[in-house]
Amino acid sequence: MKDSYEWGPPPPQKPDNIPEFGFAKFTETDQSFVPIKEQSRVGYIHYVKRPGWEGYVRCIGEGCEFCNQPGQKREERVFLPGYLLEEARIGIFSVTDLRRPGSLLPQLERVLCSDEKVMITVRRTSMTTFKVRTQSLNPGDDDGEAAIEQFRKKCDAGEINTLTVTPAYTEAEIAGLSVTPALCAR
Amino acid sequence: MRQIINSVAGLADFRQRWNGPAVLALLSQFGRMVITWAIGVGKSFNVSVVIAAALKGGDYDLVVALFPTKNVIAEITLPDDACVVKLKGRPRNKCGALDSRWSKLEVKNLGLLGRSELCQLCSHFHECFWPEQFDKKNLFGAQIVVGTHAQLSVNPYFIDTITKKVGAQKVLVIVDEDGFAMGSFRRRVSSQELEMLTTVIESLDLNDGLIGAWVHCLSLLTGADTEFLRCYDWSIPAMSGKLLLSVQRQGVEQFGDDFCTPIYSLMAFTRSPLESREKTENGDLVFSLVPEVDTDFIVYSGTTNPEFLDYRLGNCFKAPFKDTRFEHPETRWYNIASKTGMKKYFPNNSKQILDFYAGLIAKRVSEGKRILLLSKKVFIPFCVEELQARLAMQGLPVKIVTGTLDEGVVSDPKNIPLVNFGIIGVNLFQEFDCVFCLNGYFVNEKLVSGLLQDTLASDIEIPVEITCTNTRPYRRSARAVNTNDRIYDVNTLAPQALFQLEMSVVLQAVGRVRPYTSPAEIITFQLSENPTGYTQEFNTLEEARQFFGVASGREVRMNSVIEVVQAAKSKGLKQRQAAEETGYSLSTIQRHWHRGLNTGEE
Repeated sequence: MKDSYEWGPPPPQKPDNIPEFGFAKFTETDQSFVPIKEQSRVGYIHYVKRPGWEGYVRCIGEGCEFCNQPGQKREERVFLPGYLLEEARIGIFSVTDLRRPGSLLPQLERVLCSDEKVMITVRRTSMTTFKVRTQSLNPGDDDGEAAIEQFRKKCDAGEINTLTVTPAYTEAEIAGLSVTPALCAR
Repeated sequence: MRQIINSVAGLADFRQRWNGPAVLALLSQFGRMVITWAIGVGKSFNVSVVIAAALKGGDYDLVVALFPTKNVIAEITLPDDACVVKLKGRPRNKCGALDSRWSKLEVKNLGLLGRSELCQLCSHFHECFWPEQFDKKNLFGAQIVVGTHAQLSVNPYFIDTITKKVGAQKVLVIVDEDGFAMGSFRRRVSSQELEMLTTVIESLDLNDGLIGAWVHCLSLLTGADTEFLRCYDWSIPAMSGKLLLSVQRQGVEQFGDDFCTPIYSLMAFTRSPLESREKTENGDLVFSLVPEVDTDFIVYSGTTNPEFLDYRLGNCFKAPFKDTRFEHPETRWYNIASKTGMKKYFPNNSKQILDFYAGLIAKRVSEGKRILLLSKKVFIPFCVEELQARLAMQGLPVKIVTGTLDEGVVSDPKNIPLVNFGIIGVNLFQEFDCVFCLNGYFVNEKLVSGLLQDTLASDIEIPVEITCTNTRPYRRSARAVNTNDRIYDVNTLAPQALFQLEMSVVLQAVGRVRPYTSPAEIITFQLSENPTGYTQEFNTLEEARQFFGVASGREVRMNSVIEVVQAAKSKGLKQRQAAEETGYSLSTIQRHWHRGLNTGEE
């Protein structure tokens, strides 16, 4: 336990200190991140609403118990990991496959098609539209390099998977859940 | 794998192979599919056999079959032993004096009130199907429900409604042609309608818990801005029939003819896409209702684009026959890729265009061919008059007929039918040999944008433009105006929307003579590709005139002068005498004294 407060900027994060990766959301305020595009994956999810719990559940493909339920649509998502500059952690964004005007995916595709290392800033402008801006990173800027490297290594080693950010609950497991996790709910 | 069916035997094999069970086996793999067989391949027959097989095989307990018009329904054969309900429009002729009052109520969505109050007064009430047509007791247990596309336009959740009333578990939906998916999905509830409805519901003196819930919802909808409307959490309760009737009755009592109930649309509001919802500056509520296609679903259409159908309905339609092409080896398809066929330019160029067609019609009639003429509706009276005059001048004993055409009129070889491009599902012209489009069929940006973006609110919509190539043959296309917007699907699908609105309509109309399965000569006047290709394209009318060996109008008129002059000459008259007898000037007589007829052929 610390007994004195250290004034000054926080020390740079070491790979060992990287917090667990989790969901990240775009809101009405700017969210800036450094994308880890080669670890992005296409996955499928179901929105499940049960008494006391609602949220997204990962579709496990063959044998998925939600796929055959009437009215239960399987939705496609692109899961894009990024280093969140504000929170100094890795977060996974779940991006719908919508391509309507103002949708996120086409705008991200446009900025992610180059290999230049950029910082992306996204702001949600309405329930269905987003504004995407990019900015080049200057030398010395926090680009989350260490955290990104650690994330990449773990992914390559198979220790973590971008898609597992969405839980693969079963009906029985959902029945045992009582509180809707804020980040899983719409 | 690409397959071309271009022989009688090949077509017969194809039809035999794709019988009812085979089509249903295909459907079981995909759930939703579009059968893109060309017009004339046998879609109507296939619909009949698929319906029969669906019930016989026991896979389905209800088949809902929807068609573009009631005339098409009349051509469908349904199994004798099945319980069939054919949904029909109100029998207006039987409504007699009540019809006008009924029509007013229909427009205002007050059908329940009409059934309750007007039908009771009618002398046909006890034997009329209409009042109870949609009642559960009429529909329960039905195996086949047949109707027109209009059912889906009025109620996008029609399939769900019918399924519940029938009590069916496994439903197959068959829709002939894709018109149901290409109409507007947009709904508008005006601020006045919301206000009137609130006043009416608040004033109801009923002990119904839903009244409070509806007053609350209406107050929220009235006060909501666009952002609030786009929340996921809206919940609007369904209204019982009894309460609905009370609202309609009270509304008419309070507001008379001004009352219009948007209740059905409001009950469906929660199912509208979030991005379609909007509160306009004057307080109107705008949103879109997309037909629901959650069950096993087959669309039969030879002119639809599966990708575009997906876009419109938000569902994945497989197109197992997209690589199968149908063509008759003797069919010749020509296209005049000239702007002179456009509405804007046709009036100034109609003289030359109609001269050309009059000459070609004369040739084909002399060969014993039957001809169908197509035109934009607005030009039909003009074309009839002008063509008739030209054909009369050539001494051709034919009549251009238009309007309501029946088999008697069409079967008379002296009649040349002229119909508009909107013709669909009519089988009167199957034996015809030629289709000539007297002008082109084109649409404007507003229509293209509407089809592409009627599920998007105005703040999300992007501007769309129609472009035309500078190189020959001219081709029209559509795209987003701003280059930054070209990353969106609206831009990607804009050319398909344009094709759907222009060329698909022309293909449907031309298809009346069955050019894919029987020999036909077609001349279109479009600035678009033909999916099956053109035999030859002409950049100008002049090129077409030369190809077909048709004399120009000027040449035709000159020929008639030459004929008169030559006749005078052969009678042994001198030039001066010929001038006196024919009324032509001496110089005209002298000019044509030694000339032969101009045939227009090279």
